[in-house]
Amino acid sequence: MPDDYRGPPVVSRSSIQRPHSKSPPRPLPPTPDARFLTATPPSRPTSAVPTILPSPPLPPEPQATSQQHSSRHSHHTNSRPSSVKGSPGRQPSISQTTATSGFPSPRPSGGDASFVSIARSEGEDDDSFLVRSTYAQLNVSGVRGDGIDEGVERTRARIGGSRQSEILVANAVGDDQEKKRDLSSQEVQMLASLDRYGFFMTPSHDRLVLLPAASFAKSLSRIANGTTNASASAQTLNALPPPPPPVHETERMEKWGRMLEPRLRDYGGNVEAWAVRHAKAHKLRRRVYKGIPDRWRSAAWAALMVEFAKSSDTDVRQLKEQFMANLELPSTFDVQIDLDVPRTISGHVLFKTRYGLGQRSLFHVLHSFSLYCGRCGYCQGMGPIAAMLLCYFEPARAYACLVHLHDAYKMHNIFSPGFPGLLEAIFVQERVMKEKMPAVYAAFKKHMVSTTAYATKWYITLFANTVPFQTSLRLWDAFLLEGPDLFVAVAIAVIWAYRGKLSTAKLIRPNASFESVLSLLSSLFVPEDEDALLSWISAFFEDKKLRADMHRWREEWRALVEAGKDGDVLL
Amino acid sequence: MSKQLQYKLVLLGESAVGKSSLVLRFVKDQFDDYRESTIGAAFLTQTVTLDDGTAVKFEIWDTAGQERYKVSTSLSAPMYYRNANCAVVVYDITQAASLEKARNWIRELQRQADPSIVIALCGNKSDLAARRQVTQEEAQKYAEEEGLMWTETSAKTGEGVTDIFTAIAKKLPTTAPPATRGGVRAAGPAGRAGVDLNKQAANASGDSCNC
Repeated sequence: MPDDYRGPPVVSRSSIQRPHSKSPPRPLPPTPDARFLTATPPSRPTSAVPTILPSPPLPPEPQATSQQHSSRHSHHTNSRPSSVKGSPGRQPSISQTTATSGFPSPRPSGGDASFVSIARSEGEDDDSFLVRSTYAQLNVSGVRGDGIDEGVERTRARIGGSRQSEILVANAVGDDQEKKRDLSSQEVQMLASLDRYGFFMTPSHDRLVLLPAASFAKSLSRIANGTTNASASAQTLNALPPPPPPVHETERMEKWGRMLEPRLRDYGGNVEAWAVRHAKAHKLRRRVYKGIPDRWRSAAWAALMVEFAKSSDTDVRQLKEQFMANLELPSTFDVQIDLDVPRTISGHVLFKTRYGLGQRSLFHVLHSFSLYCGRCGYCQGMGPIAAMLLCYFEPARAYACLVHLHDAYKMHNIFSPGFPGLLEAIFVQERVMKEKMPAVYAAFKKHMVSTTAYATKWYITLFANTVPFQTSLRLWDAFLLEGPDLFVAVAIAVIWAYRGKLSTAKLIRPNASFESVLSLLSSLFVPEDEDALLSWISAFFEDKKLRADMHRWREEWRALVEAGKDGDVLL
Repeated sequence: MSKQLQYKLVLLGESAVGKSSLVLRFVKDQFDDYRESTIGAAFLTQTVTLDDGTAVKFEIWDTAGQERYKVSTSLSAPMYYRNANCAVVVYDITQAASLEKARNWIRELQRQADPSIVIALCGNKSDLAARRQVTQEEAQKYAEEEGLMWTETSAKTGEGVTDIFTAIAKKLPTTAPPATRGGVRAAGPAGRAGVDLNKQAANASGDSCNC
């Protein structure tokens, strides 16, 4: 037993990992969860076929019970846990598919594997129940061709109506052979075409523009006059370039391996949580801004979040249990969540197949999270954030991360009705613009370019679908270290990059400036050099006066809101 | 030189009925099976040329469908339909409830928007007619009673998409009153009609400099 054994195993199937080899000379990167794509190690070609097969069968374990549900933040009162129809008294047999699911319904042994029904909760309407039970049922059986096929719709379009659709639906359910069969050469080829982050294809976007590296050579400072020659025009791109190859990755992996140490192990000795070694803490910030090696991202993000949230291991465990317990409760948001799940980063292998593992995980995380805070419930925009977390964490842990983002990173204010945190961020952004780029601010005011018109999506989705995926990862690295101000800095960086164009937009014809400004700011921004962008942001955070001002402006905004004087302040 | 007019158009309707897909088909002639949900609102433009050579430019505000975005004070739909010359209210022919939402939007527009607003009711996903829950008769009857334009479209196949925007362009007035500003928070009164871009360009050319 390891020296730092800390008590009984977590009652969470999903937290069990395969053991490491004994006494590694130095901590190894975390075992990649086989369900999720991680970057291929540098020694292997990036075109290697990622495995999406489930882990081997795991031993049975006690069922999560609703007593473990921590109701600290849950405002759900009017519901009771549903029961699972099965064979009472019999030991649930854990199938390969349930072993990876993070969903607590046991599979009825001996019976029809595809028949799992959860009981309807009081007050749960037909549509919500259909959605919740469909995901629960498919979580046990799996779906055919997960990661490869499109899958068959079951909830948006009711099954039935035609014999043909019934057959389609029946055939799309996974069977025992599904996970054992060999991949066809076509499937292998398809999987080989994924980029290193698991994308088949990048989501289409109406307009792609380059964020020129040169514009980040000069750090943020007051530019009184709009006529700088910096990036007078935005260069549009026809297609998203492939993610740039990682720089010094092997070296950086080793450095992170020396910087992080195991903080918590499970009963099998596997590392459950990592922490930054005290002696290396001074190197953390610089290394985060250089980009966390993808192999370490899961461990590093978890460590950064726990540190930022001042959260304890017990909190995390309780949240994982809360996740499981919430799965048994109905949510009034289930239908809306189900509408949004299949259209969330659908170009990614994990999320491609309708009701595939990724979509089920996403549904379950969003479902549980919609019960976490009575004010926030579910809000469109949570989807891309949860999906990002699911690329690095198993569902229960992704849920715990969402809670950290909600509580500690103040996403509560962003998601609450009326989006108060969004307006606050916009106020701060506008004050920074006014202070540092007065010509741009004046031009926006003149052309009536309201910040909400372009920046709403930036703040609510944390720039998902606004920068390429790998850029999002870099921004999240810094965000989890710095906190909510990070995305104000990113917003300012974008405007800074185009300050020339934005401040000198001329009234050639009516609405032309308004149009060109809004079209430009509604683009997907492709940094020419991510390091240049991140260095610029790092310098932004080192400007102590600016940070103090931003803090003051946040307070100023809250005072305005309190006094009911926030109506005409924003652009 | 033929006339160029500019109008503000807003898309409204329940979540996932295909508002953004209609716009994507109209503006770029593309279709995604799973278009990401719209957060806040999206802004796009597209021009339709009428038979008489008049170019009608639409400044399109594609709004988010989730109620959360509807009730928010600063991002609320009124910010987007205020000053709008036309509105396309979309429902999904395979979801009866989405027509109910569309009726609510239309009632709200009739109460709150500029009285001259041109409203088109649009039943999307006509390619899924096998799963139809809203009959053409029902929708058409309602549209006639309310004096709305009505059509069915399929953003997926493209059927009817350009037609509805062209029909709206034809129905909009062709005189050119003072400019309506494009801003979401535009202060001035709603414009009854479009902006004649040529006239404005001529006026502006004197004091603008391209250097």
